[in-house]
Amino acid sequence: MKSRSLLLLFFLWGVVSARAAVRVYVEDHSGLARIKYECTGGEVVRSFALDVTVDQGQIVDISDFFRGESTTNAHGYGIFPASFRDHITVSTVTNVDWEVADYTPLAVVGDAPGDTLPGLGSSGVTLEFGALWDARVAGAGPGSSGTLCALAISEPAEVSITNNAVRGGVVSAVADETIVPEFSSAVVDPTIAITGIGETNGVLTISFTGGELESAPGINGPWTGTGNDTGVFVEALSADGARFFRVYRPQP
Amino acid sequence: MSPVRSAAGSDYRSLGYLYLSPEPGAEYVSQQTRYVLVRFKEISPTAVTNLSSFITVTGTNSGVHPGQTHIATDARTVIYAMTNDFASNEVVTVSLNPEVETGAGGTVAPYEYQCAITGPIPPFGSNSVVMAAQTATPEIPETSPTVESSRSRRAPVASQGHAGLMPNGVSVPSDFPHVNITVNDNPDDQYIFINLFSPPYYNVIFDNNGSPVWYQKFPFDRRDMKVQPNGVLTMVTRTNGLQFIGLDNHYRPIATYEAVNGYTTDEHELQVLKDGTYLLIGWRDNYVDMSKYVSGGQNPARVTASVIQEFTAAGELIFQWRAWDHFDIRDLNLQPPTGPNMDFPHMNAIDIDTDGNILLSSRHLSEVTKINRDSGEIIWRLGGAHNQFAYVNDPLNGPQNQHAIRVVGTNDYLMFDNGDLHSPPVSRAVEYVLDLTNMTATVVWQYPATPTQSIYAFYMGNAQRLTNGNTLINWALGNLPKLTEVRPDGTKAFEMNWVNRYQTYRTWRCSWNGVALKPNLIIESYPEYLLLLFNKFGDTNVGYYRIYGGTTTNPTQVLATSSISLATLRNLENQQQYYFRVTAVDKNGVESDFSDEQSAYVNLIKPSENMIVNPDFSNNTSPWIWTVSGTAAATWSLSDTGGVFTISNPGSSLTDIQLSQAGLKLLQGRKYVLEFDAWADQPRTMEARLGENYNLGTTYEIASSTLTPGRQHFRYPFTMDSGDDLNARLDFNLGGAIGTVHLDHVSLYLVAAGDLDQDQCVGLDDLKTWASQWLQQGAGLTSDLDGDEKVDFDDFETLGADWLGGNCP
Repeated sequence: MKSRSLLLLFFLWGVVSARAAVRVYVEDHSGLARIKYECTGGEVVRSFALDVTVDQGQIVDISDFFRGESTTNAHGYGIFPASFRDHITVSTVTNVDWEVADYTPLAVVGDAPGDTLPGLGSSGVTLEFGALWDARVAGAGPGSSGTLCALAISEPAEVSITNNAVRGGVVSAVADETIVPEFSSAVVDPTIAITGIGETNGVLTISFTGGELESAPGINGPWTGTGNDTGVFVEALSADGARFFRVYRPQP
Repeated sequence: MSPVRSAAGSDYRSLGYLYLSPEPGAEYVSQQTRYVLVRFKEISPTAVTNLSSFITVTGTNSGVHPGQTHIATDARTVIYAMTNDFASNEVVTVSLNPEVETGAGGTVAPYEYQCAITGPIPPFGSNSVVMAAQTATPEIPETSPTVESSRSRRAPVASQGHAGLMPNGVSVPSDFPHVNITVNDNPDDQYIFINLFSPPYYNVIFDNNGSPVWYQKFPFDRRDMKVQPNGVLTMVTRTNGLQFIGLDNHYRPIATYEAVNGYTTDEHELQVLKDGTYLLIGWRDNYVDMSKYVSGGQNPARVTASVIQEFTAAGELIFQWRAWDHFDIRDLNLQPPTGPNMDFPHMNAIDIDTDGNILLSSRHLSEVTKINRDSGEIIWRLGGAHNQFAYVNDPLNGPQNQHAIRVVGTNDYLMFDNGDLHSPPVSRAVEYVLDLTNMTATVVWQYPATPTQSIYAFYMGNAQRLTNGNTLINWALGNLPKLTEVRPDGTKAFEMNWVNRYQTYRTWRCSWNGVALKPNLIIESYPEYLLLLFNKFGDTNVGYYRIYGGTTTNPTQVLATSSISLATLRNLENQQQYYFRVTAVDKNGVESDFSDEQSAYVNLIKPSENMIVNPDFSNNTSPWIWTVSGTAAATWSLSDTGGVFTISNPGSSLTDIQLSQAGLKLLQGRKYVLEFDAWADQPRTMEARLGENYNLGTTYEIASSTLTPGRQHFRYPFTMDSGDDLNARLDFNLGGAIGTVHLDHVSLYLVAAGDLDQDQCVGLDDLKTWASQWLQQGAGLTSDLDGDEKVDFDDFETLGADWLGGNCP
């Protein structure tokens, strides 16, 4: 045993530096609310169960989350229990297709025992993030800081995070260790943008952020409001020619 | 009895002697007798002008025994100390020719007497009180000061089978014996002193909440732990042969107490008086022609004969009172004198009466005897064949085979009446008041008020009158309470038993303020970490503990500190010897002495890893243990296909031929799989047993395998239902049939908690199974890995801890 490593071997009750903390916070990144974490005291987090809310408008989309096991090549919190249960098919002990549609950190509202926020299209979502890695492989675990996911919101709002206690909150990867995380909110000003557009079986779906979706028969108008500021617009296609869309938000 | 009588008169007391030892005419005197004791009736020994030469001792075969004469520190006993053994079966003559100065206040005449030395006995040790250097006791490692933090470790709460913290902050190991308190209604406030009569041999001082204020585990039982009137904590020890040991209030050994004159120290009783004078019981075996005394007596019969010995605080023997000299062996009532062995008379308790004389309880006579402590003469006899008292208010008409005579007042005595020979057998605590004029013994209190067959302790047990007027009763046996505290009106103030229902010889309540000077350190080696437990017992001023550790002895590197009395070490370098010691730093910053150093060889076993060492016998036989006992005969050899066991005599039971390996770590509630390949030259049975590492210990799992000539793989999953055992033993029991048995690829592994399909790999299939119960609640959920009846991320952590561990592809 080398002396330099001895100092690292003790796991003690009530021992840590005074500034040590697991921070879970919101960052406005190009109009998206990034949900981030940072472990400043050497903590290793196994999982996060979080409730994220906005004080106005809606949460309209989720993106930028990691999928699957954490490895030396790709680190992150990519195990989402409810979604894994509902959408992942296990064919072998060590290999699955993590890229299946609908595999997201979003909790399932119908899961007992409740305490789940309504989800996208509402003012709150419950998120489930877990990490699995081979502890024998150095560097396979998730990093000490990173992004859990990004949320698109429909209008400027303060985005807040709290523990979802029913699911376990923030759980340490060290046995018998309890983590009390620090949460902080942030005001996020969503970019005025159409973030996605698609057509499936004659149904048009448009994702957008930052205001109300407007439409017009031509590029120069006239523009008519759709009354939809939720971030998701769905409409059956019609045969009456081209239509143009934009997002409009009046200046304050 | 008709002893070999003295040649010089029948009554030495008329010649000016008060007490002599050996007694004139004594039989079965020990060959190793080292001391002749003389007390005078009227004169002081300082009045003897020829003190150094007035005693001579001569054996008919061994000749003259030179010795040194001195006056004991009690100022009344003359001691003639010899150095050589007597010959067996010789007659010894003691000649006393004191010359007394004029004006001595009395006269003493010359006197010569004889006693008989009987058969040889094994040599025993010797000196009495030995003041020991103030050496250390227990020790422990520690951890660091607490600072405010975003994370904290959940300190484990101790319970039977699980190491952790007790409510008073003392940490205890996994095999610590917990108590179950069923009545706690304003009891006496003195601590409870108790020990186990069977493994694990713990001695514990408990408070009234069942938390230990001090404990130690020993290789053997250390019974009769109590605080003596001089403030010394005493108990039996067997480290250097049977003796009692005395600890000061810092738990440091300061004295030992043992019998002399060829007697082995008896474990029943030690009484140390305020001035340090002490009395104890000794015993030695005699081989006796019992046909001399009783019709049908055997020749030889082994008679284990007892003696009371009294010593000064300086360790000088000043009084000896032998059963052979004062009791009649024909009176034994619990063991017939016609048998091959007898315990004569099984002295089991001594106490000092209010007038300074000795009280003796002799179980096999059912008698309590009061003995003059100056002369050795019997003052009275209560109970047994020579009972001198009429019983009043006693439904059982006297005690039978009692323990623990205790003085509670003038002519007022308490005892634990085992009652073996009551009809039907019943036990009780009973208090007698003696009227020495009318010679009556009146029962003034007993518990239970009406003795019942459901409360019967056939041996051991004790009763103690407490300072608050209540009575402590220890019922000794497993299913009965180890402490029932009863008020004078018969209601209970306190009652407890061991959770595991161990037996206990005696329980005491004593006033005690013990404070250890340094921590006591214990290390438990778990499959995935070391647990350090450290307590500076009794010290309420500990600020924190400081842990020193390293890979060499006497570590000086502080690894950490701890505000609580335990710490867990993970991720240690495997297959490495570590050394630890601990200090306690008080609230003023003053650091204690180091604990004793403890070391541990780190042998971390992760789930799915085989904890059997040398499982295929490719590394010769170590550390397997091969035992052939009884009439069995068998050999074992090694081959390319493992171990080969050739049994030529099967013995009388499966366990007569045994292949074992100890040191296995089994944790309560965890799943394990035992696997092996085995075959035999003809169909037969082989038993595999996992259990405690001593014979007749608890069995955790037992499997009977039917072997055939073809190699078979056997697999036995099981759950450890008992408490944690960090030194469990695997036995392959091969007795019962002759033939050849082959054994190979022995495996015992912990099933990772997350290995739900038990395929030795925690992988995605387990995750899928686990997730299927996500957020469900209730008992019996397979995904509820922490047992809190809900499936959440805490369970996910348990699953993740072993992710891809074991034998994943």
